Amino acid sequence: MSRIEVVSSVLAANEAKAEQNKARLHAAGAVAVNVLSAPGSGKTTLLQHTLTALTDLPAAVLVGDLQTSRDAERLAATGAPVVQINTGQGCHLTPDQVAEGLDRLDLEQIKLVFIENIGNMVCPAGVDLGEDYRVALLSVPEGDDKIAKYPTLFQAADLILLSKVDLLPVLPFNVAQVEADLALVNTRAPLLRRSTLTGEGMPEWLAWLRSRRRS
Amino acid sequence: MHELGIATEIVNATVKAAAAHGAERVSAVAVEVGALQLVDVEALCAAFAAAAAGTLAAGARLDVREVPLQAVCRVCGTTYAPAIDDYQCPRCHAADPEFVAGNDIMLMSIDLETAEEQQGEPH
Ligand SMILES: Nc1nc2c(ncn2[C@@H]2O[C@H](COP(=O)(O)OP(=O)(O)O)[C@@H](O)[C@H]2O)c(=O)[nH]1
Ligand SMILES: [Mg+2]
Ligand SMILES: [Zn+2]
Repeated sequence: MSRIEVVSSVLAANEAKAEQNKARLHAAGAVAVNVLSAPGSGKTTLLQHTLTALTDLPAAVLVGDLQTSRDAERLAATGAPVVQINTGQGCHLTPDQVAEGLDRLDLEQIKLVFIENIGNMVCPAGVDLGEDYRVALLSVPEGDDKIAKYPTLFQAADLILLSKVDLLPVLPFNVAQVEADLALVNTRAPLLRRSTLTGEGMPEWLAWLRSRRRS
Repeated sequence: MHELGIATEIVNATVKAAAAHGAERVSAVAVEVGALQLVDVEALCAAFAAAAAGTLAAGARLDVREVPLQAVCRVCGTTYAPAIDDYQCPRCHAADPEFVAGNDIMLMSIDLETAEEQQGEPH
């Protein structure tokens, strides 16, 4: 028997690929935003509304799902370039899949690339795709305990959207609890209330995106 | 599902290193898993066994050492050991940690058997 001391990061290969994605996006003058949440929090709906409203900033979407191209169809209806990535069994997008998605976009024409990650509150949090920013959604119907239960998702976010706030009047949901939990895991990211039904928070969200633009 | 992806990465890295050393078989693999990876050790070992089947690492033992979190506060620079669900800095109370330990998965060592060893082993 012989022992080899390896001492190398198992995640390093992925990180190197994420860095390649980032370099490629930067060279093209584009910013990438990784959008993460549980399934059904409102990622696709948010992006539909965003693509329609962001007429001054050419944007594209890479959308991950285990199966189907339904989200891609919803997003493509806005006229923006959209690439569906089906991961099959994969519980998060990988930098390789994002690289393949970027191959299918004309990056010279794009200033902002949204990456809609697989709906999952654990696995995508640990995987850097080469994005510049992370946006995490927590929707009101999910419950006010989710930041405490899934701290790693919210810790790594640059902006947290409290989604579906139009439902606050009809659901027992304590925003103060969410704010208290967030104070323990992430005091860097602002918490922004959003509703695609009422439009609440839309101007602030668009302003946040516009100020991320690489000139 | 989470553990299977990580186990697959561990098996890939193991097989690559073992093949580079001309190994015929891997008998044990030692890894360090950071607490931030939220890995269940039992699930990881089961996933490793499944992912290793049919490779050089088939049947190998997986030794897992868990590495606790360590962070540097991005606001005041204090080094501290956050809990997995509370990243608040003990000095300035900001929760803006840069994790300096406990966020990686490291392949530490691999125990190999070479072809000669296998043949030469006492019966
Ligand atoms: N009440 C309410 N429902 C919403 C809002 N945004 C999205 N939804 C609904 O939530 C469901 C899931 O949304 P979707 O965008 O597909 O979520 P995703 O799985 O995160 O992409 C759909 O039925 C949406 O119509 C919102 O702001 N308020
Ligand atoms: Mg979706
Ligand atoms: Zn501090």
